[in-house]
Amino acid sequence: MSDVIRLKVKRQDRPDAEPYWEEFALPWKPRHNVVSLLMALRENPVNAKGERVAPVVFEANCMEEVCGSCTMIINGKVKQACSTLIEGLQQPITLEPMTKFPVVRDLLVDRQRMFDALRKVRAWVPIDGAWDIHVHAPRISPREWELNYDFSRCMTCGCCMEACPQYHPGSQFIGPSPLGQAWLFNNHPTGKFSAEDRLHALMGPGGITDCGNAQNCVRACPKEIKLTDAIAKLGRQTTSQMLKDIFSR
Amino acid sequence: MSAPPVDRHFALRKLHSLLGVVPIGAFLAFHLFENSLAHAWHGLSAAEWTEEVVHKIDGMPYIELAEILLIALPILFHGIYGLIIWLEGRANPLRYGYFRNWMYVVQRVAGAIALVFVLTHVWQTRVQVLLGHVTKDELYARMAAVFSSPAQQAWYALGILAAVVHLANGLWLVGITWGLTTAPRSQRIATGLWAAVGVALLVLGTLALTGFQAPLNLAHLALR
Ligand code: SF4
Ligand code: SF4
Ligand code: FES
Repeated sequence: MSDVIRLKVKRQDRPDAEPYWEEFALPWKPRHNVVSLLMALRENPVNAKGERVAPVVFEANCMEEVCGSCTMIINGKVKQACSTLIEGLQQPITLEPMTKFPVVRDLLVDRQRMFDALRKVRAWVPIDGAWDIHVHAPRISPREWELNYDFSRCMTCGCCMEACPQYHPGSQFIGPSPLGQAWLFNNHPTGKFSAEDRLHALMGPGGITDCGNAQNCVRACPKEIKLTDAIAKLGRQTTSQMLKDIFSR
Repeated sequence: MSAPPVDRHFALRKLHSLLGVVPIGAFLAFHLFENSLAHAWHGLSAAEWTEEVVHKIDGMPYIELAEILLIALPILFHGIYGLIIWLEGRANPLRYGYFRNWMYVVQRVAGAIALVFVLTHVWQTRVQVLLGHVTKDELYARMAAVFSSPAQQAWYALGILAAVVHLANGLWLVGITWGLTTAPRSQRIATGLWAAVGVALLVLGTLALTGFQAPLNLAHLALR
């Protein structure tokens, strides 16, 4: 085991600045993950040439792979920095910001477009009102519950969006994660009431038809959410919605 | 006027997908089948093939209308709109080298090759008939002449391969986008099924590709 950790970071000083690579060498410590390594670097921001530089900017919060904020490209693959251990990574370790979202600074990106897409597909359950609706939450079978739970673990990290060939700054596509959430709320006993609105949102430009079925998303998702199942089921739901729209109006 | 019942973008994508199956996919299968009959394996001579295939189809009612509405226009729409779809993506198979991600690229490349091939093929055959350079009765000899050039034969082999791969994988995609195969197991089975159909079509294509014999060769065979 070597006693230094060599790091190569793709840095960018401003949203509109040119990116550049900077190398670092940090002392080896057991059980480092990429976030703790970046924290150590923040304490002593000196590059491999011995120059003191601005600390590398990154985002992290939960440190247990549930918030999604630390997502970045590590050695060419998109994943969470907090759950990626340094042991077993090939050196020098390369860190890049995700390419599908605008870079704010260094490894910090703005994932707003993904949150906007969630709003577009109404990824919520419309129950809250100012009155008492006098009924209990509807019953749901354990099997459905389990399936829905799977999708509810999405942390809008953006891995699936990063890997998707159809999703990029120049495309209108809303991307795999919002599709998965649209399916989840269409399968929710109360969410079902607005299923048609969600389907119509998905049947516009940038919607379900813009998926190219490369199926990278399902491979990239750290939560193993069955995104391609949701996409195909939404294909079925939108097909029947189309028939309804044409023949039953 | 009230809004159309289905969003224009959605309708165009669905039309693009549907036309790829019928009539285009169905026509490709039929076309490979009829031309495979030129192979000696089926026991048809040049004259018999011309009678069986060219004359029978030519004698169908409304054939010119069908050629335009069921073949030419659907292929042009499917091809041009397909190129637009290609431009909307950013393929990344080198970073994410999964089989399906490669098929995403293959589908686009094969589609483009097939489109260019179909244009050259129609130019060499149907358009030459329209221009009066060949008669329909001479089509067999025309194909034999085309295939006497190894470069042409290779181009046809590539074109047929591209068209068949694009169709077989396209049918797999249709299973998902229209919502028939919605889980990994059924999608895996569909992969095998459409691959088998693709291989069968390639067999027909190979028969067609090697079937058209130059008249000289035929005469030679007859002499023996
Ligand atoms: S299946 Fe492919 S194109 Fe569709 S959302 Fe997933 S990664 Fe993107
Ligand atoms: S679906 Fe998976 S990869 Fe995509 S944002 Fe949610 S957790 Fe991340
Ligand atoms: S810090 Fe929350 S997922 Fe990594």
